[in-house]
Amino acid sequence: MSRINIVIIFLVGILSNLNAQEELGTHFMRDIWQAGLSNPALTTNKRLEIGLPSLYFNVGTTGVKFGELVRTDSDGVNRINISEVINNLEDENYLGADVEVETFRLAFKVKELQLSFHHAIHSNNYFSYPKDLAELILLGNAGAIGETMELGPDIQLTAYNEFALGLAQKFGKIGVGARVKFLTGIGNATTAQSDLTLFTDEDIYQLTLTSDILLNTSSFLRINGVNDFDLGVTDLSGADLFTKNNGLAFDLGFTFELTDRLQLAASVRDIGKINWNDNVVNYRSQETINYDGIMLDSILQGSSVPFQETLDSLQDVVAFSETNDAYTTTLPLKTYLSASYQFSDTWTFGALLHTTSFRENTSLAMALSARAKLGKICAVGATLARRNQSFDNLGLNFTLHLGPAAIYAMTDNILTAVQPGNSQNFNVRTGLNLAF
Amino acid sequence: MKRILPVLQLKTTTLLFIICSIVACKKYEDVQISDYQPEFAIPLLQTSLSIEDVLNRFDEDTFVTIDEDGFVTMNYKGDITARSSTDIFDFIAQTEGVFPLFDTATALPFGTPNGFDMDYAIIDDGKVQFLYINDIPEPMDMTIQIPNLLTPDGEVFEFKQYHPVGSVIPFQSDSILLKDHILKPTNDSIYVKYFATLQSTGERKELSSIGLNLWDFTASYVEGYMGNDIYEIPRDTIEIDFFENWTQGEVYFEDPKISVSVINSFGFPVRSKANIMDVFTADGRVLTLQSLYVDSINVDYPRLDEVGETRTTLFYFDNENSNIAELLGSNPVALDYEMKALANPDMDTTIRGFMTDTSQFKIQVEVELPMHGRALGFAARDTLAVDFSEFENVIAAELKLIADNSLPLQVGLQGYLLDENNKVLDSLFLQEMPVIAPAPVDDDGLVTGLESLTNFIPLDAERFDKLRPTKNIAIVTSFSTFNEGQTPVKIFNNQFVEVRMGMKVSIEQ
Repeated sequence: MSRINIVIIFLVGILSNLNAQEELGTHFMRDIWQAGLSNPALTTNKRLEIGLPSLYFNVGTTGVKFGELVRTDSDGVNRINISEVINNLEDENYLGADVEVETFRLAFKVKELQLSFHHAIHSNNYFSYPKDLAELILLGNAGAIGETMELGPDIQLTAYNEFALGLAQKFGKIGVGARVKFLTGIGNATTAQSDLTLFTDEDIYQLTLTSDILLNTSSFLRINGVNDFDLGVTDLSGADLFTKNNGLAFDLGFTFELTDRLQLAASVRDIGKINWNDNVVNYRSQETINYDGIMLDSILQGSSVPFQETLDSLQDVVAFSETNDAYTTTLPLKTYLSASYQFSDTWTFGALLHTTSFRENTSLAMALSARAKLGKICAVGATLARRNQSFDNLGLNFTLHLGPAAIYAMTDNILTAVQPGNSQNFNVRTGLNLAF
Repeated sequence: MKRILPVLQLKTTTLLFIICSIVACKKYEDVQISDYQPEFAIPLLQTSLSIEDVLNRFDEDTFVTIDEDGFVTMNYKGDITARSSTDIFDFIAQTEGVFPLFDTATALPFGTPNGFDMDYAIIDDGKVQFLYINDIPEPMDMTIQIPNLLTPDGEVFEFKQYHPVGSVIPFQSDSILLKDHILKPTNDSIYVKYFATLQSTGERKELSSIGLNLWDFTASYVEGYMGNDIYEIPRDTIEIDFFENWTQGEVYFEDPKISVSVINSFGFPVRSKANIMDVFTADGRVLTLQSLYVDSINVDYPRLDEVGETRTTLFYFDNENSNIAELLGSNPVALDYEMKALANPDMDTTIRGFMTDTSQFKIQVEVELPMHGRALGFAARDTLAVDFSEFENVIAAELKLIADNSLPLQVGLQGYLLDENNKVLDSLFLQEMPVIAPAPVDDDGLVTGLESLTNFIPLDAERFDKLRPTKNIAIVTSFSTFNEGQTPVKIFNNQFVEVRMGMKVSIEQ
């Protein structure tokens, strides 16, 4: 068996829990520098590259597809079906949304050495919630009598600047690249601890609410009560470029030309963290509340039964204490392992295995790529990715070279545009480069 | 052509992408939520009630006593009614006025109540003044004596006045205070003598006009035979609200009592007589206490050497000496009583007694209901104000009621839902349901264990629709003792009923 087949089999191997939300298609767009975002060792053959402002947007969820959430009935009315929502939820469900705005990039090449600099603003937003929480809200707790419901959501909302210096060098068949990234945090809200449980006793449904929550915030989010909070996201200003929340991250990458047609690549991205020192508020709740009902005396004295007061009191049961202790968050660690095979002058095929490690979870994604050069000005590609245990993510990408300008766009799930109801994720990257 | 086609395809693809996105997004406008009917389980109430807690909530004149074994007795105490000596001392005050002296020795009448034989009285307040016309032209010594009036030193009261010359203008002496003087009438009279003596010869003269004025007479002490009068004690009523909300059924107490407590500081024999001792029942009847002792409760009294002390006499009407069991088994709501006090019932005039200005004859009646007895279907009704208007979104509910009971009482419950006009909308149950099971008892009526009962009370959508406009719930609670009221039971303060209630409620958007 040839080495190519071994690699392909390994990459195509059935892997479980593939639900990474990272972009995959850009890795195969080797005619623009953006491929180097996933591996700093990947460079183009241009001597000078100027990246104009570009945008990347990604949103994804597990559990419920949009179409499973809303259905049209016989009367033409769009309805959210609660039962189907619950049935399609997993024990832990995730919502993620990322936005990346690259404001400026400059790279120049001297022989095989490339130096680069870029600035980007990242907004990474992650929210996970247990199925029990959705069940409590949508079905109530009567179906969980005698059981403990896990209710603690997990969030991490992060916005930061990334000032990166990159270096890439080719040594014959081997290419190496590295980036050091100076990070300044704009705002953050992170649950360092998010245990919240509700136990309903079989006796007369006595409720025990236990909280062990630590929510660290910097600039984002002010909490006055469980039902009273303000996310506090405002427009960015120049002052947000350099803040007191500093961090450092590294990207490392390698390429190896196994043959003149087959290239292997491996990289690790976002090895780093941000230290949050500015405008920090830590919200802590660590208590156990037992609610056994109201006293019978008030009924015997002829007053009305205070049911509403009973229910209202439960809303105030989780109280937060505040401190101002600095804290640290790490960036999602990403790895890429790929193979790219130039089948002909027109066609290039590739395979990619990608992991994202974030908040004690590691998710996997795999993509197969086919890309075609249509003359000198256009390249189009398609990817087929496996995410969330389904191989139904069809991506498209294209690059249009008009002189020094290169217009590009990429999405890993074109089907979302056509059938948003059957999708759980969507991303797009687009921008304009100048390359000389 | 090769170069154009890819570009055309690209443009077409982009356009299709945009169109499909718009069409797809349009689908998710105007979304409604269907089948949103969460069901929540919440605890409603949890409490532990002892019989002491239940009985002590009635009012301030109702209280519970617990003996050393923890046995519970319910007590209803009436107001203290009293008769004081103020009214009896009126006869002292009637002694005052202006009294002319027609002779050098005059007997003034001193009235006492019928049969009263006063030995002496200590005057607390009182004044005397003498008035006369001395028309004797020469110096004269005037002396007025009241032999029945002694000074605090024990001397006979005397008034002396020297007149150097007479005058037609009447002479008026100063007011003389008689506090702490002792009055000892003789044959119901007070004698007054005067001596108008010429200083020159010692000849005694008579005056044409002489008199004395007595006023503000009160006594602080009277001693003697106090007569045989009957003194009325103010009437009183004891409310027994144990049966206030009774609607049906019976309660039988094994050993009820009516106690009569007399506190006496009058120093002479008294016999108490119950002029009125009636029980008003919940169904409007009036029953009279019958007993040999209704007219003859001899009251203890302080003796002559125990002035200022009080004596307490406690008498019980019980099953042995009266028909009290019948009265208190008829669902009484009030005890109406009026007592009288007969002084010296044996009319023994040799018994010398006393009374002071602070003497009192006080009576307090108390109904004691020891919690030892039987009850069968004893039902009480009470009405609670409720407001379910906040439950607009509730479509159904189920109540779960758990009762752990160490009281030997079974409790049945029914509730009637009433609107603002007290019109019955529905009942909580199709028929009265037992919600608390009685704890088992032995042959002596003593509880031997704990009994637990769980009830589920469904309130479906239709019934909840009737519940929503309800403004009042009339609760009818029936009690029966163990064995369908056939076995007398005893209730102790360490017995309790623990009631817990939870609710499952379904709501809609």
